[in-house]
Amino acid sequence: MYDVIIIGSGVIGATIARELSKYNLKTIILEKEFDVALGATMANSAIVHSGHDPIPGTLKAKFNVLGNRMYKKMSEELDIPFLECGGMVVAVDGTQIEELKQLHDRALKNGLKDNEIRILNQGEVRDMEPNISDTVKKALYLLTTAVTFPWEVAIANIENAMDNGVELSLETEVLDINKDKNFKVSTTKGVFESRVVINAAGIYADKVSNLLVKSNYEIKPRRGEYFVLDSDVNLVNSVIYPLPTEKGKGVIATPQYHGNVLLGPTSDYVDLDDKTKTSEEGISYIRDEISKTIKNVPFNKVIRSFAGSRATSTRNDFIIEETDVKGFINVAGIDSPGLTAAPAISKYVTDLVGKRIKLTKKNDFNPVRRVTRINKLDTEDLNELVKRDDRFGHIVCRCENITEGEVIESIHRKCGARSVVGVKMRVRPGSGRCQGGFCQPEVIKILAKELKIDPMDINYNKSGSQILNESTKGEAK
Amino acid sequence: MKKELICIACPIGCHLEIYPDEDYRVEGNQCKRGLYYGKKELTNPTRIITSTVAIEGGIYRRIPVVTKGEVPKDLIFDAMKIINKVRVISPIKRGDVIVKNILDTGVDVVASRSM
Amino acid sequence: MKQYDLIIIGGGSAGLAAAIEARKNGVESILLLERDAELGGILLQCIHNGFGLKVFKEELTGPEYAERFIEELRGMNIEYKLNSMVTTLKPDKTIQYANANEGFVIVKGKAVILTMGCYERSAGAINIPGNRPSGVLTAGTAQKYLNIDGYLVGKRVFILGSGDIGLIMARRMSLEGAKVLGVAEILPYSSGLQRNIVQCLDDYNIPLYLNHTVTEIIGESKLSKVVISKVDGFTKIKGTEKEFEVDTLLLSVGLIPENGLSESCGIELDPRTKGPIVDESYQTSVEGIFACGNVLHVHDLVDYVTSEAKKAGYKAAEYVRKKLVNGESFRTIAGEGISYVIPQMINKDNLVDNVELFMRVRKVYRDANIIIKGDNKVIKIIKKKHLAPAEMEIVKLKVDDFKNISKNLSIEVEV
Repeated sequence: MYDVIIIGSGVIGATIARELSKYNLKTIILEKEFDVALGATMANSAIVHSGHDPIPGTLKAKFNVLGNRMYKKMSEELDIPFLECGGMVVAVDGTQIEELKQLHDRALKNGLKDNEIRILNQGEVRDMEPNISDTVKKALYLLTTAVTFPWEVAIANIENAMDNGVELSLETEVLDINKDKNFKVSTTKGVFESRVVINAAGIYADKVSNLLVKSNYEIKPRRGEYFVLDSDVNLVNSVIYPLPTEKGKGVIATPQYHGNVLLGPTSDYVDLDDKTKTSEEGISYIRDEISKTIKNVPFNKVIRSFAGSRATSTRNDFIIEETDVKGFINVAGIDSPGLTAAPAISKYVTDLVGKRIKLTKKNDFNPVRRVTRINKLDTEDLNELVKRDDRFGHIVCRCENITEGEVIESIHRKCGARSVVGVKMRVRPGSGRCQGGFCQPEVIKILAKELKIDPMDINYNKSGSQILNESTKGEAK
Repeated sequence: MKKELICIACPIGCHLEIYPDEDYRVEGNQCKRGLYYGKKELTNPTRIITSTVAIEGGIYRRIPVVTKGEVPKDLIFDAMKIINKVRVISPIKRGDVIVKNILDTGVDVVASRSM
Repeated sequence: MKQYDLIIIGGGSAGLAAAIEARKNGVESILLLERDAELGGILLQCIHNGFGLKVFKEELTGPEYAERFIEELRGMNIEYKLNSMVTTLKPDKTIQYANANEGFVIVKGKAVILTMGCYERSAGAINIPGNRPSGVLTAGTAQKYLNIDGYLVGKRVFILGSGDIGLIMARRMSLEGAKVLGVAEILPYSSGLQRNIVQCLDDYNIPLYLNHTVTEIIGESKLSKVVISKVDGFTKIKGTEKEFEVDTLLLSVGLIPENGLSESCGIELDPRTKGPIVDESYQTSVEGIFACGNVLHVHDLVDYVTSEAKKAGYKAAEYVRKKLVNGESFRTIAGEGISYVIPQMINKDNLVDNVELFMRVRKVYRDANIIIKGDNKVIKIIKKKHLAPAEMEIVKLKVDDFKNISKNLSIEVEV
């Protein structure tokens, strides 16, 4: 019997889990996939938006600005990469300059302060961004725009939640939900009971909700495709947005914390089957659109393209509310700026939980999570570390200089890595220019050894995604 | 009548023209290996086989092997059946015979590295 | 901080030959740093034959070729470290490397030779539309799994790109029990050696689809299908799609010199080779740092790597002895039909013996001439029956040929 069941382990489920772990509650996260954060959290722009563009008065506007202001503290507590790079929305002609001024006003209405936004003239823009297109005339500078590392936002929050008592059950797909006195959530791993259920199932939120109560919304997967540029490309210093349209924020150039640049996304409603497929049209759309704001884009430096789908709802705003069934809370339709809003949403959801369960603060809540990162240490500290554990001297990922010690740590942490992509999401081998060509065999070996299973059973990302098919020479496992 | 072949005797890949009616006269070769290959390929094609065998006690699970000469092309898969069954134990030295006289071809399969 | 006369980064074919040659030319204090658990580099997983015809006048497998050099190096007592990754390289030739025994160590060399090799262009770099399931790998990674670790990555295989590793892997996987359904090559000609088409594809009845590429990857967690289409240039022709039910897509779509370290050190790269710009002595734009082998430009024969590395090792020894001259240089120019020429710079004062120019042509030619001009005057014409981008061309010039050149040396193809 749990107090709270959270369905879904993306940034939303993760931040809610951590927030709830501050209180004396018995909480469990149910995730249908082989690992956490494999949905929209896996594939997005990684931007902590300032809150300049949501329509004033919406939940999006409210939680975006609130979430932005919470990010730095959360990142410090949980050791999540955080790049305070700023952003700018650029305008190329007279109409756009007019729209830029309206956007400036909208930002103020949403609660941004005077000293957090500023209109830049062409010269100022060029000084800050040498690769900006010559056609750009003005820009709205957003000082509070930042960049995070979404995989680690989810993983760090879940790890910290687990450190503070939250449970996680993977490969646990919700099949049915009933309520008599308590909720009974039937899954592929049995029935879980609780007093409150939080539906943070992302793209599947409407389906999960329908298991209990006919939902008053639908989720329409809205796919975004992206390019990743190699980390040696110095294309932009800040997040470069075109002017937003009704389709969203447009194709953005985003500097990443680890030095790459992300170009994208597209915005297309797709069937669930196509939610993570890249397309020929998408690839050429990004090329065309990005060239309107940035010049000299080195497309020959692309090291990866990928797609993910936002959980856009038919209600055009975040849906964060208790349903007619008391204790069943929908946190649905969390598309952009959901990543930014997540910490603020988690506070609000906790208040909703408080209406059903009396919340008392834990005395021993530990807000801190720390990870060993050799790239952050000076030589002296590195050598101290290697003396303690020599596996931190053995580099397995040559593109990103990641050690065996870091990989092993990622496996043995709470919510540890169990797959090749799981290791990549936590400590990044395979994120560099060789895309795992050299380190993947090493990572498989380490996973097999640490998890004490056969290398042939190691998954790439999901269940049933093994990389090694058969042992040669007729050998059995 | 002329036959055209690409010589595989070495990575240069000469474009050979072979005249079977003229005792397999070969043109286009840059070295005499081409003369030999041209005739052989049209009369009795042979290949070197490279593969691995399972090894115990080595730094890896497999040790590479190579036939010490060419074997008839149509025996390749039969030879593989034999190679696949072999199990060896480290240490092995480069050149150690792994399968003697495979399929009575007179050709040995040897280790192509030490392990 | 420990000091060496010469530090070599990478213990593959280039690093081994460079170290041996430097020692033969009197450099006593040498450190060779190898990131892997063994010396030999990528040769160790290239278990097929075809190596050594130029260097040893016999045909060897990759491991055999490597072991001969490893034995020679060990016999010379050249210091080397395994499992040691170089993390930083600075223009003053200080180097930080890391391994489990010593931790993070800083050393300094009077000269440095870069022999880090190359990496494979990945699936990510070529933007194939569709899913991102498991079962899509570079051919070299699959080669390591198969030849070193003893695992087949799949049983029904399609191969994109007709680079040599892909062709070699078509044969290897067929031999080990997989079915290879085809190879697609976007260009109208193969990018691998002709002999590999014959003995790796034709021998096993594997079709080669020229002017084709993979246009969709299908499969949720594991690859289930690939779709290939005919292309006009690089544009897909609609209606020409063919589907293959496969569990594996191997990519053999190019090798890229691995110059992360070189770039971080400020070494100037040639955008065409993606390797450092070097002079006749294989010296890069940073004085005392040399480069050879696949980190400089991608070779198709290891024998050429060896001969190039020997020269670099010799020249680095000359540099340590302060015998290299920093005089006037002129450029080599890749003219009509030539995609690049190595070296990019020539300093006549350092020419002592014959000069080898390495180059690749842009397309396939039959009965063409390679024309070498010095200061726009023809100095040599070489007749060629067959020229192809997959096959590196080597032009040998004598020191005398450079006598009257002062501005540039250009090379072009004339049909």
